[in-house]
Amino acid sequence: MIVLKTSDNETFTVERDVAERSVLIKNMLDDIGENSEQAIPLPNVNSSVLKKVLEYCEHHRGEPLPAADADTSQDDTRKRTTDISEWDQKFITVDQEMLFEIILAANYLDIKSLLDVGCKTVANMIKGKTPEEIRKLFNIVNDFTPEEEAQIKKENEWAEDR
Amino acid sequence: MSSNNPTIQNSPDELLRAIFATLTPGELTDCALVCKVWSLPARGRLYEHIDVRKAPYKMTHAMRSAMLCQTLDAAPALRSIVRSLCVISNFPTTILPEVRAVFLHYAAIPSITSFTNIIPHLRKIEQLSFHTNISLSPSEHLHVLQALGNLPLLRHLRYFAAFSGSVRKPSQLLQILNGLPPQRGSRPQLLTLDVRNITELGGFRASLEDLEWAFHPRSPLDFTHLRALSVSTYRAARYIMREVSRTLESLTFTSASRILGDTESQPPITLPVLKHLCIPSETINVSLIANIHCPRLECITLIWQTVTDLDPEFMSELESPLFLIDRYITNRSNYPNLKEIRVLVSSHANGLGHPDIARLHKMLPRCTGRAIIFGFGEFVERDLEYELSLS
Repeated sequence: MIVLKTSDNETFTVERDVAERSVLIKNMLDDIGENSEQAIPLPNVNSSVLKKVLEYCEHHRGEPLPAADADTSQDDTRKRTTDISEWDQKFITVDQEMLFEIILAANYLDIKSLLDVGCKTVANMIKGKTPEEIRKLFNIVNDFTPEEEAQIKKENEWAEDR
Repeated sequence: MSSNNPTIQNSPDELLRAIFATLTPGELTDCALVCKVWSLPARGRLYEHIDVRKAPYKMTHAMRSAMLCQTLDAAPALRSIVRSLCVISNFPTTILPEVRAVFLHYAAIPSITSFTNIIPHLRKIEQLSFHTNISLSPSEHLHVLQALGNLPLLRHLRYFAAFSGSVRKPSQLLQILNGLPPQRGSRPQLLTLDVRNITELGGFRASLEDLEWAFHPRSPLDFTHLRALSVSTYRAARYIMREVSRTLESLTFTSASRILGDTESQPPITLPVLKHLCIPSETINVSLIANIHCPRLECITLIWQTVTDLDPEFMSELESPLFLIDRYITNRSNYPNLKEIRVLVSSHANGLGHPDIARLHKMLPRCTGRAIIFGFGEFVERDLEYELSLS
């Protein structure tokens, strides 16, 4: 069993293979050795997010991990598939703040499959929306001048759907 | 907006890039307009790998390409992002410093000029495809090939341009090469060469098919270590496979119509490392395959071209070329590594629209294969079983 300590000083005790879904934790464990009783500090993750992340790791335990050096090729396979499995879909149905917390945590903990699910979910929210609708959805302020906007529009005209 | 809570807007660039990975070019243009933080990663995704054919056909690919080239020519920052570029009819007139792969299809006269001017400066190119419907004279062919000769990393080449006038023997390119000064410095060492026409994979039209020039010591490109070759005629295949028999791993020829009566005179050849053989089913003579010994063969693709390949009126099914090939290949102990037989079906070949996979399957009873349907320079694979369950 492994002990993980969150930014808000809560501790979670989990089985090793669950925790090792995170490449960051796996590498830490490899470094400190088998017998350490020490809690692993995760200063970038709070308890509510870690609880959620561990729920994901628990569900997907035992599944093969993506190869560590597959970065570029994985980029390609990831590119065109926007499907998310039913369980993951339910899992990721959370408010926007939690969604980004999960994505950031998955990035920090280096859990590729979870990062993927998070990114695809956000991508699916973006799809089919105008820039203004996207801004509204994510509460983003338009910081372009009209000239800059016109410039970018002209530049990218070759790729437009409309 | 300035809270400590995570939002999409204060996500690091790399995360935005990951989020944008599944978006289409059109969607990326919307993201680039959302705000300044989004604009950079969105444009990064949009310009890194460009293929104008992936955009919806609301305007022609050539039109999109023209607009794209205009943008690239005006924006050095965008040019340096591009890693691969596929354009139709148009080509940028400025240097893309980081580009690794370039595809120019249906090149028109101005774009051929900018292509041959710019290409020698794109020193990182590894893969290149050049196609034009304009006929080129032998010296124009050489001009393009010499431009490619400046690319030290070039390994994969697809080239199609017809010769103007009738094809003459021996190749006029040979005569021009004879008159050139000896090659100085190293030439790019090509691993794959495809000289078929992209728009009619199964068709016959002379491009650089008379490949004797390819092994000329003054040829701008070095083909002596070729691993994969695709040509339209058996004539060309026959010549090259003898030159590179030791390294050739994949051999494709799409038309056999010119080989009848030609096969008996051919001495047998061994291709010791050949793994993939792609041959036309049309008018194929089994003794042709018998003459090519390939003990490491793993996969055979049969190109289904004409109705006669399948027409039971034409001959009994047991005599159909496909059936003969199937029986011949699969009964032989000469191919201990053979795992797969595929059938390449042109989606518009027979005017059928939809290939009759059930009939195909009957012709190839020993095959566990796939039908590969090709469209515009791209393959779409479908399982035979999948097709069967549809019909």
